[in-house]
Amino acid sequence: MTDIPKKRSLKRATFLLISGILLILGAHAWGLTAPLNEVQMGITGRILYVHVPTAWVALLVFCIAFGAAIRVLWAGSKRADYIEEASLEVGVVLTIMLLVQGSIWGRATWETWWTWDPRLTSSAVMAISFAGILVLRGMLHDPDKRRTISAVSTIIAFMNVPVVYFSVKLLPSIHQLQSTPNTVDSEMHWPLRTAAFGFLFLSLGLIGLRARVAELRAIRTEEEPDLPPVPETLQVEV
Amino acid sequence: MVPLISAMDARWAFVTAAYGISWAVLTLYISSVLIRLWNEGRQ
Repeated sequence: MTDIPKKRSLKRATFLLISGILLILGAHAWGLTAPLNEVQMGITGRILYVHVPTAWVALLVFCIAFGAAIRVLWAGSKRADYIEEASLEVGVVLTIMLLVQGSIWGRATWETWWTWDPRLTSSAVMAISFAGILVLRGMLHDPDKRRTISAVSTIIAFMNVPVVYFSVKLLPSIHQLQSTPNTVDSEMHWPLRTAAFGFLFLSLGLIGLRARVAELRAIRTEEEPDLPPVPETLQVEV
Repeated sequence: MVPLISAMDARWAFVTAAYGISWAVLTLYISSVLIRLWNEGRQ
């Protein structure tokens, strides 16, 4: 890739990041100041505008990581490896946010910070497994080995993502069903959709920027490999 | 009146905490990505 497309992709990522932040700010201001409360949960129902978009986009970001991992194994693409690393990191941050928001919402509505519900447990497993892959990547110094092991681990960890999504439908759960236009009042649609697009743009922007960090780091380490210090016995006195 | 200002309901504390922590995490993470990008770009 030449410098011009790189600058363009960085500009695109920055534009997505800023658009995402503005959309989320607008949606949150809209959701928090809307005159109507949710019927069953009242005021605490307003956590919906941050919790649901975080969940949707976290799952989507892990789908991007999965697609990138397949591409790494299929084509050996370095670019896909950078995108995979970036998506894993963004996804883990979103999932941690999701668990904290869910815990606060659970305390307000279920009167407990945590319960071993299938949705909650599978989400925690998702966060820990993908965070583990990031740790693993940090421990592997050979780029080829890191690419392959990371891609295989991502594909294995991704098997839990459909479990997270379908857990509320297929398993006995106290968590409510997925929020869709059919299950959410029309008054809530637009702030919810705006926040969802905001989180999506923000995450895509972050993936673009973070992938560039991974690429620059890879170039630097290829140019300046971590060579062991020269043993004293090999030094020559001039 | 805007509910944020008018309501003295204690449950607003949960809403504020959920939004506040989310925005704090997002701000820290965005900053960390931008700082790393800046540092790698300089080397």
